[in-house]
Amino acid sequence: MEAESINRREAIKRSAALLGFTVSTPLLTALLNGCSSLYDETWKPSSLSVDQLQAAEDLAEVIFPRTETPGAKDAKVERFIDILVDGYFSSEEKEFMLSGLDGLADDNFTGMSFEEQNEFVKKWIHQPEGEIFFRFFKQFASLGFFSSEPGATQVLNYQPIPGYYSGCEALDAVGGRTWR
Amino acid sequence: MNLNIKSRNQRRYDAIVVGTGISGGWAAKELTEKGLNTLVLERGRMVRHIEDYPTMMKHPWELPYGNRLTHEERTETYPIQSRTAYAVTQDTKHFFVKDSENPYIQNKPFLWTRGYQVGGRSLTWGRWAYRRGDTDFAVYERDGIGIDWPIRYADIKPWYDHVESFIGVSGNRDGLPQIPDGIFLPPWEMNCIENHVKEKIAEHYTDRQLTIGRTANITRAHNGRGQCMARNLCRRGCPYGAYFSSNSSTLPAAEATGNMTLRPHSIVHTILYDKETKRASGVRIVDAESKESIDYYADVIFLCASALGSTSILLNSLKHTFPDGLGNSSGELGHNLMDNHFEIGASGVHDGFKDRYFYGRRPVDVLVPQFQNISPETERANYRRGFSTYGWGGRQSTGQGGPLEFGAEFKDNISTPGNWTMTFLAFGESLPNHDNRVYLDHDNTDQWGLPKLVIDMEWGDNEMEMRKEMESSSAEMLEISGFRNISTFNNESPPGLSIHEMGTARMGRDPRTSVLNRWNQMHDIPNIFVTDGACMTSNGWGNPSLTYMALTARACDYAVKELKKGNL
Repeated sequence: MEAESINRREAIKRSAALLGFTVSTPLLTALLNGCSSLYDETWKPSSLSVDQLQAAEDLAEVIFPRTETPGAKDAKVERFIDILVDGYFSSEEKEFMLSGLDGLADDNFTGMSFEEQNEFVKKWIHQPEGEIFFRFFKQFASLGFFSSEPGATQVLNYQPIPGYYSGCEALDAVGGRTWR
Repeated sequence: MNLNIKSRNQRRYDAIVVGTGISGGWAAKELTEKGLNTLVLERGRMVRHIEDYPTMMKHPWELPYGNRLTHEERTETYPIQSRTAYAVTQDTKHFFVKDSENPYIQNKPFLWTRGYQVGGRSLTWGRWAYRRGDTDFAVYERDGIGIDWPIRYADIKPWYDHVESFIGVSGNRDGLPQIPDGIFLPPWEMNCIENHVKEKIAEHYTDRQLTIGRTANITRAHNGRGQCMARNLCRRGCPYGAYFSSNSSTLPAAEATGNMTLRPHSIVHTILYDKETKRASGVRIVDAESKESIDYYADVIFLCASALGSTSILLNSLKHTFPDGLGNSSGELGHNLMDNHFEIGASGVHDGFKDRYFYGRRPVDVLVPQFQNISPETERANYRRGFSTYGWGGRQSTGQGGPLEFGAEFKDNISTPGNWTMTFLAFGESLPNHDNRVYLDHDNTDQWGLPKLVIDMEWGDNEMEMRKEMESSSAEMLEISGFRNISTFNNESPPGLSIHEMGTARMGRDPRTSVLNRWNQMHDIPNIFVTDGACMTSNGWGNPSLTYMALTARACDYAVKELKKGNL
C-alpha cells in the first residue's frame, strides 16, 4: 500500500512536471484522496435494507477480496450498488437485484465466515438461479469496483494525465498492471 | 430588452453565419478576419472554452453510475443519441441533444446525432482529419455514378494547407494518393502489436498498408494551444485546448477581430428574400428561450447548420419566402442523403509481446486506407467505391476471465494485462441516390413551431456487396499477422450511426442537377453559401470534417472577393 501510494505520488509529480507546474503538498493530498461522499461516516443507503446492503457487501468481497491490494469492501461496492438501485436500473433490474440480495440473506449468506461464503458461492453459481444472479451482480460490482478510487488506483494502474503516449514499453517499466 | 423595436439598421450586418460547429466556426473566423461585421447564430446554448467543460478534470470515481447513462436516460431522454458511435456517457451527455425535446421523423431507421450548443459537434467529433484526393473528387470520371464534383484536388489543396496550418493535424506522410499528405505535426506512435501487424501487412500485400491515424490532436503546442496530454478524454472538452473545436480555436479567433456578434438560442426559421434585388436579404429566427420571432439582415449568408440543419432551413424557406421554387430549380434539394456504413470487421488474439505494454491513452487509432476502386488495377467486379479500415491494438484488461470466475486469483489475473488483441472496423462509402432524401412535415411542428424533418434513407445493394469484403478483409489481415480466435462481426449499422450524414444540397457544375456551384454558392440565389456536409457530391469512405473546413474557408475567400466586386 505504501509503495503504491509513493508510485502514484511520483506519477502525479511526473505529469505535473510535463505540464509545467509544481504540485503543492495540499493539492497532492487532495489529488490522492479524492473526495466522495461514498466514504462518509454518515452515509445512509437510499434503497437497500440493512440485510440487502450486507449481502451486497459480502458477495462483492467474495468476487473482489482484499489481498495485497484493496477489495470490494474498501471500495464500498455495496454503496455503489445501492446508488444503482436508487437511480440507474430499470424497475425490472431493480426488482431482480433486490430479490437476489434477499435470497442470499435468506440463505444465511451474511452470517457465514468469509471462507464459508466462498464455498457457498462456488456451489451456488452452478445452480440456475445462483448463476443468473451472480452474472448480473458481478458486472455491476466490477463497474463499481474499477470506477472506485481504490479499484482504479491501487488494483489497476490509473494515470489521470499521462502527458505523452509511448507505444511499446517494457511491462515492468510502466507498472506491470492493467491500465485503468 | 425588446429586440423587435430595434431599428432595422441595428439588426443589419455584412454577413450572417448560421451554426457554430466545424463549418460555422470556420466561416465566422474567415469572414471576420476579412473585415466583415458578422452575426453568428447558434440554435443552442453558450459553451465557453474551458469554463463550460464541467467534467473535463473528473476522475472515474467522481462521475455517477460508473459513467454510464441510466436506464431512464437510455430509454427516455437519449434513446437515439445513446445508440450512436460515440457512447453518450455521464461525462459527455450535456454536449448531445435530448431526443425527448428534439423530435424528427424516421420513415426508415436513421439515427440523427446532434449537439445543439456553441461549438456544435466540433466538441465531440472523432478528430480524424483526412484530405480527400482525386480518387474521390474525380471518382465520377471512373464510374459515372451520381454527378461529377465541380472541383478537383488542386482547387482545394491550398485550403487544406490553410486549415491544417491553423488547427494542427498530427500525422505521417504516407505518400498515398487516396489520402494526400499535408502539413503535419509529429505523428502518434503505433503500439507493439500495431507495428507487428503493419510489418505483416507490408510483407503480405502490395495493395495496402497500415498507417497511424491523422488527428486534430496537437502533438506539440500550436497557435497558443497546449500539447495533447494523452488522456483521451477529448469529448469532455479539453483543458489544454489540445484538439480542434470551434470553441478552442476558430471562435476565439473570430472574437479577437472584434467583428463577431455571437447570438446563442437563435433557431433560424427561414431565409428572407428580396424580390427587387433577387437576393437573400437576411434570416428570420425564433429565439429558443422567448420564442420571439426576429429578423436579421445581411449582404451574404453562410449556412453551416449541419447537413440536415441547413437543408431544413432551405426547405422551410422554399415554402415561405423563396418565390417559384427558387433554391430548388434542380429538384435535388433534400435528396442524395449519404452516410458511411460500418459496424463490421474482425478481432483476434495474439500470443506475442507479453512483456511489452504501452503508456498513455492515445487519442487516435490506426488505419488501412481504401485499397479498392481507386485505380484500374484495384477495380472490383461486384461493387463500386470503397472502404477504409480502422484498427486498434491493446491488451485484454478487466474483461478477462469467465463470467463465473471470482476471488483472489481472478482479481490478480484481471489486474495484470492479458493477451494482446487487435480489432479492425471498416467504414464504407454509400452511393448518392435520389430516393434517399429528407423533407419537412409542415403539419407536424416542434415546440418552436418549426416543421419536423422527415428522413427517408436506406442502404442499397452496392453497400451490401461492399460489406462482404469489409468483413473478410478484416479477418484476413489478422490471419496473416498470426492472430488466433479471430471472430468477425457484422452488426446493424443504420444510416446516421457514423455521424457522417452528408448531401441533400450537393455541389455540381449544372444548375439542373445540383443545388450549389463550385464555390458552395447556390446556383439560384448567389449570396447564399452552404459549406457544411449538405454540399457533398459524393460520400467518400469517412472523416469529412477537414474537407468541410477547407471548403468553408475557400468559399469565404470567394464570397468576400465577390462582395467587394459588387457581384453579390
